[in-house]
Amino acid sequence: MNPTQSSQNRSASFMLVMMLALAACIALGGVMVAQREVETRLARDRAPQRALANAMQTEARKLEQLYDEHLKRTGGLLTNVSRDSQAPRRLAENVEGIQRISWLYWKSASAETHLSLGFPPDPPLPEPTLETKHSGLPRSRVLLDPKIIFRDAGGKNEGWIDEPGKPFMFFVQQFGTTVILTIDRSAVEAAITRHFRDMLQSAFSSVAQLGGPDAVRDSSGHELKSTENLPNTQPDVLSPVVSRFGSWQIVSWDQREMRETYHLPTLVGSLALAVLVAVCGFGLSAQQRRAALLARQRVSFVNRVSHELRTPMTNILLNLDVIEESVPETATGRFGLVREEAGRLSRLIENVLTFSRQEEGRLTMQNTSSKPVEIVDGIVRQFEPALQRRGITLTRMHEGLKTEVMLDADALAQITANLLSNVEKYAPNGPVRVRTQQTETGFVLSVTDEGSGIAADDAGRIFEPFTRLDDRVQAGVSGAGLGLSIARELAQRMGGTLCLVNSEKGAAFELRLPLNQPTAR
Amino acid sequence: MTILLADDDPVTLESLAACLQPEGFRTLLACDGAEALELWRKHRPDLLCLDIMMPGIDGYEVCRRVRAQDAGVPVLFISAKSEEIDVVVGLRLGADDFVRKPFGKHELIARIGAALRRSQAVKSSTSGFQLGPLRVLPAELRAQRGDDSMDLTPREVSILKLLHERAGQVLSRDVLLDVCWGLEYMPESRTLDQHIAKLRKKIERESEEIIETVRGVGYRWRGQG
Repeated sequence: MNPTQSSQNRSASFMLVMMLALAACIALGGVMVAQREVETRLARDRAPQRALANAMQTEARKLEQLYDEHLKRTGGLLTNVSRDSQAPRRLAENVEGIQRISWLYWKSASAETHLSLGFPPDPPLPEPTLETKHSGLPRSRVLLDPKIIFRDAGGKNEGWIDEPGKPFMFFVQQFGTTVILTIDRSAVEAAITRHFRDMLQSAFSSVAQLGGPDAVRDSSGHELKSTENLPNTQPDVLSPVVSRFGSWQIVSWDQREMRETYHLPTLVGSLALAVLVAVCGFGLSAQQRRAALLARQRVSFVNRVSHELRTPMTNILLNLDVIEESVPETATGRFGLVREEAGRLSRLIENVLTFSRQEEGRLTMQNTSSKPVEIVDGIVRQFEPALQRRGITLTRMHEGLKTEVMLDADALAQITANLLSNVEKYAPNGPVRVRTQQTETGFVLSVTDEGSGIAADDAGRIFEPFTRLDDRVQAGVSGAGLGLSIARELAQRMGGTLCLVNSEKGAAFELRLPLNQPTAR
Repeated sequence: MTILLADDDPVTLESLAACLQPEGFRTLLACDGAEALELWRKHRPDLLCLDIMMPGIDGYEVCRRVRAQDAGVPVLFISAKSEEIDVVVGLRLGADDFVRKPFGKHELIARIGAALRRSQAVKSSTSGFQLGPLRVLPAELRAQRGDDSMDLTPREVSILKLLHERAGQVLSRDVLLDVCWGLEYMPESRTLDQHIAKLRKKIERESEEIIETVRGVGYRWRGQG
């Protein structure tokens, strides 16, 4: 298998591997996308939780009633005590949560009086008042309706003022005097929470023995009591305990079971797509291999045909040489033409073979000990009759050494012949200079004509295979468009260069080759 | 000089012989490998030109068997096969050169001459004779003029040798044809003139006359001085 074949096979294999990898990714992605985790809840016995909630609710109501009675009794006493003595403070401090005592009067000239207990809150508590108009320093106040807090005005003896935007207050009225007790709801709630905490020490055991997870929380979410290892998720069951002062919750989680399942349409869709991509990969790879095989077979066919032409070509050339001396003088012109055409055909066969070898990656150089000057001279001699007939005057110059060096003689001959063939085709009726220069380290061949030259735009294209400049095709010049491409390829494989160089007129090609001296035999 | 030519294509074989004989080479023709080996054993030619693809014993095998018994005789492969591997195999078997088809007579003779020169240079020390400014080296099929070297065919060598041996004498056309071409060979009269013309082109410089034409008789080398 030659390098080109192996490169084509590698390319087809690489594409197949890529397509299979893509198919695998699609399949894997599809499986991942189709995968689902289904959670199943297993309901637990909730009777103990309900019982605990009921017990706590009953306890909360009992505590509320107890607290109401305390406030009612304390408020009643406060309507009769002196405002200036320490008595009101002592009475109030016996009851949890009283922040301020306010004395208001029904149809009396007595001024409203306020007594704050404990550390003053920030912002200050609004003062309850009946005064619609207030004089003195501006303070935060809350206007109360006498119809609610005075029996004479149609109100009740006592009760709660629990309205949005107003402090939490309890009033007790007696004989035209109403005592307003501003209550710190959170303090009462905290006291009830403490009570519940003590209560739960024994009451929670009925819930806990079921194994949980269960917990009792206050309104801020703090746990009063809980089983171990509470989940971070939202609870499944929530039993509230509500009172005027706050709320508590008995929270509970059910047992959960996780199960993996797949979304069938997604799974089937992705696997089908993966199979499709894999099949396409095999198809494309096979197609690529077939295309490469066809290309190889074409090149191989051209190679074989050109190869088969070599033996008859040799016989023609040899026999032309044999009969050369016996050709009558009247026919020497025709004979010369036949010989030149045979030479041209021979060069064409060589170019096609060289190109097909290059395409198959089998073009290699075979260095032998030879004299480059003589090789060039030999080719020049072959071309002389044809150049003369086209009105081309050839000047041959050489500078430097004429020694034997190691190089591929056939390649140098082919390059020289292709350059002179171009001159013959494109620079008729003018001079051509073939100049060679040989030093210890390099060999230069320059072929300069004075033909129509090559436009700057075309300079880059002329070394591409099968490239022929349009105007010249129209001008009826023949050729396969391989000569310069092959010449440059051969030059590069010999380690040198072949360039179109600047010239005042026409085209000038310069071949530069590095030289190795031959080793002694 | 005897050259053994082996090719399964009779046209090629005949064409090769037709090219080499006028240049003074004696040819032995074989159309397959077995015949080539038989002719080689019988005649021990000075050089072998072998095609690779031949029925029966191919060119490579002929070369291998010849090399096993004679390491010195030059062997040239003449083939339409020209891939690197073909050349490498041929050269590894001990061939001296690989001539790719298509080729012409002049290339073939040059390659044969080069192989013979290398072979002769190895075999013997350089010897020859002086012909004016030329040092003619018959064994190497070349002439030396200062640093310049020019290839000669056996026929050209024999012409120069005869001129040298009979320095100062006029050699008639018949003598030259009899000695250099052989009595049995009947070349046309023009053949001698063409050979002399080619030879002069090779060895003489501008306005120099080594081979003198004696009008109506023949040719002469005046000798030293």
